[in-house]
Amino acid sequence: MTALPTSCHGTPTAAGVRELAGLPIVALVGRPNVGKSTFLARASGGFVETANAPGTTVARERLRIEAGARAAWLVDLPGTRSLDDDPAGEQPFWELLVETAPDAILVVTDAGNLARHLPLVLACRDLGLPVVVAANLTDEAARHGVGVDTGRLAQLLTVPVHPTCGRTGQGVDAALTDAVRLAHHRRAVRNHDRSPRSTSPALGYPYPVERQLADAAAVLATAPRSLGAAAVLDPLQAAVLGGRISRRGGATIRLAAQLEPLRWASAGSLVRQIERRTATPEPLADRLARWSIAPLPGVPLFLGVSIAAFLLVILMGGWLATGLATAWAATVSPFLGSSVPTVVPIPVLANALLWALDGGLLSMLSVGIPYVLTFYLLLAVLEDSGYLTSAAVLMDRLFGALGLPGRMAIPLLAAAGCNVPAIYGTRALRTRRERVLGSFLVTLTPCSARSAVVIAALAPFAGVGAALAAFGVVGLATVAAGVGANAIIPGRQPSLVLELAPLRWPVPRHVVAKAWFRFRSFVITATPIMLAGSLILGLIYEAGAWQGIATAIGPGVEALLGLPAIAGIALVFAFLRKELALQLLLVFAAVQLGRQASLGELMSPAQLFVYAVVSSVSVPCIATLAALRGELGTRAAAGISAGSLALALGVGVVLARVLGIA
Amino acid sequence: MTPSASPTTPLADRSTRDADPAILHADPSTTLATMRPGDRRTVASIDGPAADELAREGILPGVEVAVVSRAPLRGPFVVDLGGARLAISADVAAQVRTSPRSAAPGRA
Repeated sequence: MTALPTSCHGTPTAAGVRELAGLPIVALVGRPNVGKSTFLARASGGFVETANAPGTTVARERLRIEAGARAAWLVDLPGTRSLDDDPAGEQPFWELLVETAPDAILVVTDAGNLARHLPLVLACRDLGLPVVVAANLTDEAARHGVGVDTGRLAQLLTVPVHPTCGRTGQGVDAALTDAVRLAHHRRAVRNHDRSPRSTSPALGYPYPVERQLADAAAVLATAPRSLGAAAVLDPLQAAVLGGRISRRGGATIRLAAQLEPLRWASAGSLVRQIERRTATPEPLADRLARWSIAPLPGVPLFLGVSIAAFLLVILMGGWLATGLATAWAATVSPFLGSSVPTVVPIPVLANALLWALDGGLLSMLSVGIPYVLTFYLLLAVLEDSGYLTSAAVLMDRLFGALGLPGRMAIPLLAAAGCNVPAIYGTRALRTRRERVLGSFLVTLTPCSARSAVVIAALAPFAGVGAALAAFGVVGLATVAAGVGANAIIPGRQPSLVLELAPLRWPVPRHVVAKAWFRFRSFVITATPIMLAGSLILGLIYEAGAWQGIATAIGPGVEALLGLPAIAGIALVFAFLRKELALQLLLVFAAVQLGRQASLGELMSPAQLFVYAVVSSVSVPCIATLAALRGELGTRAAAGISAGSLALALGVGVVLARVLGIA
Repeated sequence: MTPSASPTTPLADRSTRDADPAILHADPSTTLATMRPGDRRTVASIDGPAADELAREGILPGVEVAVVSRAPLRGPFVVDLGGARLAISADVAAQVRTSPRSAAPGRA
């Protein structure tokens, strides 16, 4: 079995398009936490990111698979609980499914709890497409003493059923081969007759329901008589009229709310005929799972995990960052410093280029690899082990006040190490609203660089108490801003109804692959912005334009924040790297005064306090901005930056008044 | 109420909840939200906007639910449902009306 992963929106080679365009498509469907990504990894031999990346209704991974000497596309869809479910908080699942135009559906189910998984199988069957069932997680089912007669189930469902185990790969090939075979068959039939229709008789619903279904199907199949310019065709009807879904299939989606209880009832009675449960001692994983969400010992355990995560990112990240920076300074910096001026003869341009190549790339290296990769590995472990949902439940109430689900707890903690990975960590959230709110809070959380600025600015000149007070002010402002943003941004946090993932040992290969995939996307989105931003700031500095900007914004900074004009320009430049907020201030001061000056000479303790708080809260650094833009789009990134700038100025103005410096 | 007897039962529930909001918390003493860890009861009906969401998780009239624990700060209820564990926040739990375990085998 070979695999050729490409992305739907990518640009495969011309030859690839010709060769693959006609291949039938198998959609991979399953409830969340059913081990679909592990299953898929077995199918492909490689890894495919399956996170419900928001805003990416088209950017679905697909794989070219060969099974039973036939090729097909395997399209992975986000985990869903029903066809009318909304897994990414943007679009009902059936629309995603119809978009992929599958020729067959492979439904991955939990062999240990088929009663919960068969309703989705029944719903897929109702669409009239060929369905293959993978009774997955047979290893976990065996541990729970659950035996399934898959042969009998196949008879009852009239679809192929394969016992599979994604972890070992057992049965995966057989299930795929069946699905590919059925997809080819359907494609062949469709080439003769293009109208979609039921290919297998449905189990059937009680007579009154079938009548309702027939009525709904008739309505869906009737085009509205007058389609004015303003009239928008309901998407389900459009899909039916466009021949992308059968009439009856459309009707079963329209009446999903009525059919769902019937499907669960059918699933229950099916399972009673095919499932055999023998009493087994509770597996250790189940006991741990139970403990992890009970207030005791769940809460202390959560605190322990949080602190460990926090320390790991800070310590590992800091250690790696220092090491890389030292290595860079010893090897690359001297090389760039000598070669760039010879290649580029104009000194101003050469120096600006050094800002980008030396400073910008070093920032990428010292933010990217240590903090981002460390956190991605940690997040992948927490995700794949199932612990993240336990944390979500424990923290639900606390984070609910901020409009966030409890699973935001871990990314937010990581934000105290570095904001960038935390922004990507919000991928674990379901809706776009949650992600925007979560990302906003992340950018307000002081990362290690900003914390260092606060400490370095305040501890020597205003005392440790002042540094702690500054953190207190930042924390209060963050919570207040979170509550405010939750009230302002339309919509509300949906009430929690969440199936808890069982605790599992993460598969190291998948953890590494997942972390690597996300890291790659960070490097691709952040590097150009980092380089461009550094170059622009470098040009402004080297051309001497900064003095003009300082003069322009100086009066405002003095009047509003009570800070020297030079502090304003340092705040602007700290956008590049937050830890530069102090060094830059000293550099600018040296240029203006013509001599070296200490922070204590430049500003009073009260001014330093305002400066530390404002620099900590204001616009995120350029790497964070790049991450925001890549994840949420330009508008949201600009909105979040504007929000944090407004908050920083607001807090600064109030503080300056309170401290009597403005 | 035995929903498996008549497919229209869930429909009836939906129409009553839309028609009369007062019925929402008509008898709060019997909802999932009032159960304590260790309690096991049968779902009688779901009266509230979360009905569809709960149906996707298999919380339907006739199934048996047991409360395993409750998250801190009056957080979500952790419910055992035929071997699966669900976390259900208090406002949703208040929409799930329960009755004592029925003698008939529940659909779990």
